Amino acid sequence: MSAIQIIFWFLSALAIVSALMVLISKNPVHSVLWLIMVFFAISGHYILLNAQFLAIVNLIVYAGAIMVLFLFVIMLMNLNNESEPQKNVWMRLAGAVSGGCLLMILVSLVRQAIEINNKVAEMKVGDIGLIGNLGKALFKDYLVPFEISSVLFLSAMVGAIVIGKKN
Amino acid sequence: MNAIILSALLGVVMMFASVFTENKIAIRNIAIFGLLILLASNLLNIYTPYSFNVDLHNMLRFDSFGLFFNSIAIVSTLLYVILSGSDIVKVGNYPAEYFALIFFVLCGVTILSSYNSLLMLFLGVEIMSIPLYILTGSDKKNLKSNEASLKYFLMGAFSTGIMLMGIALLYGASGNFNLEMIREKTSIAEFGILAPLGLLLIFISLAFKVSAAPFHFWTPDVYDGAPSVFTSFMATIVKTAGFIAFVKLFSLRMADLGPSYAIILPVIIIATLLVGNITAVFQQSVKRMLAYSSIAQAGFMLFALYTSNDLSTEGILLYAAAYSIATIGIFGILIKMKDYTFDGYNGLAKKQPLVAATNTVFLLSLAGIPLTAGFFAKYYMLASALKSNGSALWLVIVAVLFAAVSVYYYFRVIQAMYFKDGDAETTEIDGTFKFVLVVLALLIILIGINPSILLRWYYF
Amino acid sequence: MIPVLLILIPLLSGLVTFFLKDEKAAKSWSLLASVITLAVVFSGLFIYNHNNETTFDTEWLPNLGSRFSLALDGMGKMLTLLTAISFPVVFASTYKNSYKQSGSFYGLMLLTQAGLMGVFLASDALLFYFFWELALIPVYFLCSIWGGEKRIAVTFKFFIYTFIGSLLMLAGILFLYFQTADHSFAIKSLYNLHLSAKSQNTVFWLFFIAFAIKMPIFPLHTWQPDTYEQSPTAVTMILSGVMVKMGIFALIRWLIPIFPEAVANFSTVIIIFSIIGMIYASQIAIQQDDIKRLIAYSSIAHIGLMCAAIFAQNKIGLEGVMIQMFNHGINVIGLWIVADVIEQQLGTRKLSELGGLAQKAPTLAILLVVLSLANIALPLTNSFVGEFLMFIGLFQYNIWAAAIAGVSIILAAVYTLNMIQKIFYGNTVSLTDNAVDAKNNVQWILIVLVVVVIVLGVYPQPLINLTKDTVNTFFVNR
Repeated sequence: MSAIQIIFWFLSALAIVSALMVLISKNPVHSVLWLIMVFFAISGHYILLNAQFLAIVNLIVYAGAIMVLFLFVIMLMNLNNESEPQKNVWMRLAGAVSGGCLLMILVSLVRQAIEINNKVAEMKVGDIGLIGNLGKALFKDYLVPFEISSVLFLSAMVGAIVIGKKN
Repeated sequence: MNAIILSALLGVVMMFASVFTENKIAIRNIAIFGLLILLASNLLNIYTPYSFNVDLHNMLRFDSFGLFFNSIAIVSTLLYVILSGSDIVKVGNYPAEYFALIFFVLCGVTILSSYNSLLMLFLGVEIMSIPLYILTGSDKKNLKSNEASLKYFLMGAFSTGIMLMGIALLYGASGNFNLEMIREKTSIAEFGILAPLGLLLIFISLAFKVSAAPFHFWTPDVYDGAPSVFTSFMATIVKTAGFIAFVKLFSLRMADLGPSYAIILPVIIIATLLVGNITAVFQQSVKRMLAYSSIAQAGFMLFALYTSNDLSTEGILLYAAAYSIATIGIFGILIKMKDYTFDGYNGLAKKQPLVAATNTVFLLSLAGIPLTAGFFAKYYMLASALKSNGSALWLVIVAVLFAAVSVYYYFRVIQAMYFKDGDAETTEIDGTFKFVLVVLALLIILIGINPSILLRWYYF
Repeated sequence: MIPVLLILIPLLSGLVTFFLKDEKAAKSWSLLASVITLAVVFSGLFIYNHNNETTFDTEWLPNLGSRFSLALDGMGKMLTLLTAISFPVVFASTYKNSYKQSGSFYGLMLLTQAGLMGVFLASDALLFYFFWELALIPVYFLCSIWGGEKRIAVTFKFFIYTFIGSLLMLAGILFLYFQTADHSFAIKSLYNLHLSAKSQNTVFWLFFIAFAIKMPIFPLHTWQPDTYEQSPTAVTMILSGVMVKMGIFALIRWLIPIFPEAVANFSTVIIIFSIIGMIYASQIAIQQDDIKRLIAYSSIAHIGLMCAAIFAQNKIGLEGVMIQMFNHGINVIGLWIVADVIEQQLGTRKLSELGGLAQKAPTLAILLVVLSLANIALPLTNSFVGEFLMFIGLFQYNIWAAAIAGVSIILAAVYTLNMIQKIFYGNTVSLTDNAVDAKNNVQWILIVLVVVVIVLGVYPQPLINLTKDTVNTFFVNR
């Protein structure tokens, strides 16, 4: 097993464990911190895929900006164990059963998929994640969606004003 | 392309309109004028070569199906704004912004009618949805409106996540976002499992958007909680646009996705019809009844996915028009009512005979009575199912039985208006409102006598 | 052009009537319109009776394969005649009744007439379905607005019943459409269909349920007595005199020729149900205290016999059905008129509250007796010929069926004579002390009906001639 593979497995395990911890932890602040962990792990994957720019952007935007915002909101709202709504045991059971079913189906489907058996991520071969190539793709092939997504942001901003502004 | 660009620009125009004028009526008139321009530009796009020429990289493709639906959506919005515009500006303090958001929704709608890449599908769905979350919560002092908005947003976010997962799997299977390329690549047997799984996830998220059972749970609460004017918009133009996106993606794919899809879709159709119709029967509020009825109507529209032939494409367009026109009218009248329960309609026929008569036409159309547009809409749907496959007869029989159930709750409104005594209180109803109602009713009857009045433009 | 006129005259005049505010104007206008329609029918039967004038065909929905094609032929001639006669009769006999918003009332009545005419004339399945519904919707409003106390719930039941039926029929029509060779709704293409036995057996029921609800056949009859009782009498006349004929007509024209195998398979079942319905309805009729309900149940019994005779599938039975369709319409309208006269004058329909009316209203009594005798098919009245032929037909099919069905004749005599006795004979009660004879217009109309009853009883040949095309083609086709 090469060093790269070891790192790959380590990062994958880290991502999955952290994601589980996001769901499991009782304290919402802990959840956010674990989520940041997930983002770090995924950024590590990006680097393995030779996409340094995406890795950095992922860290700055998600782990940096968005998660800090989340932390602020959670702390401002002062969420803790007491304010947590009581959950019915049956609801939990139903949730566990239906979620488990979905998991089972997805796992079994992926296991059956011959085409991805015994394949690992291709390391160090791609170059789309490099800043130059990404820019070219974004402003040439994907120009239309890139521009149109500005409408999305614009509408979100208008919405923020409509919802947020005091009368 | 005209409609996409102009609707986004008109949204910006509406944003700035509030800077220059405080007059609510003026703002509404600007919006109406903007919609007329939008309609004209879309017609230019269809019938003349005058259109913005952008290098699309095959992200979007403009065919007569999508462009014709654009016209239907824009005309419906136009009628909606003329009919209920004065109520839109009453919702809150930001009338111009509401119209801006409506234009942004239209931008999403026009993208959905012409996407040729999963990326654009995603963007279209989001551009259509985000303004809606806000419009749902625009009645800020009303707790129900806030709750509806949050619920809609959370559920919508989940469905977006599921759609992204599906897109990612499809991309993994084919290495491409482009619909044709995906179609080509994934039909090769070796890419078997990922592509159907991805499509299934996209199917789920789109089923959520069009509120097909069992992904309909948000619909009644959101439709009920949102300000009625915006419910009208959501239940009509937005919903039909969801179906157009659905049909574009799935109509050609269903067959080669293996036998399980042949079971999934009928199950979903029947579940949707069942949930929508049966629950609507038990409602006391007309608004909530309409929310469930919109689920029931979605059940019929899903027939467009069942088979793909000329009848199903024509049919979904006709259904979009018929359903939108009738629902806009019914909601327009509902907004004017002081009491939203069935009893609130008691005796409306005596106080407002014209309004009651047009409302009856709309309700008959939704119920699918002949000589109204709704009949042919349902007719096309059922015929498309039977055309390619005679064994779909049992599904058609189930559907018509549910159509008979739907008569029960639609006719309760008619009974209240005509046969029961009461004092139906309405807010002020002006001449323009009545005029537009008559126009809507006439449209429904004309299409009901001969649907080719509408569909001939599709083949122009 | 004649068929188009038959639909357009009531349709347009009906729409005009909605805007007539004055009660008198609305009444006279609709009476005039219905008389003109009658004149057009007569001209279609006797003057302009070439093929060119009695058929009409034009493009309607080209991409759906449906044409606006109408034809005045065979059975259609007779039933349009019946429709055209009934409406003036109904309007004239209820001329003195007053309705709130009379403009809308008469408007809806005329729209119903347009729908009925369309049903009897259409020779395109989709068009037929359209008119089938068009005849239903105005009746729904008529009964719900102007009906009795429980009108809303009762009429709604009626509407839902018939609507379910017609939607099932629509599913069936659609299925047949895609089976036709030339993808067409035309009646000829449907007649030329050769369906597999399996699909015949399924689709047959889709059509049959629709028609059975309309007729109505046991056990789908439960809407009928309530609706007849609650509807305003003018509407009841149309419902029982003409509208139930839609079901029988549709059975003969749209069902039996298309599904020969299924008809052969299921005829026994249906005849059994029809006969059960006859006996059952007659039994209940005997118990009734309300005149309207009594006539309603007697109507179920008569229709049951017609249905059984149709499924007996022989020429003589079918001829009987043809004659009886017309005659039942005339008789039952006459009975309703008498019921209406009594109700309008005395304010009750209960047999137990009436008595001795013959002393006060001798003319009415004589007329009702003749109509009632016709109702139990006494010789020399019009029904006798029809019922006799139908029984022969049933006899040829199965002797037991005919024998059991024959019991209903006896039962019919029991309840009809009982009704006459309770209303007209015995001592007057307080209610009938001050009763007077029927008004002139009603008397004249009843006299006309009675004359028709007797003339057709003695000389039924015109009806047989009128419908012989249908009867002949019916048996040529098979």
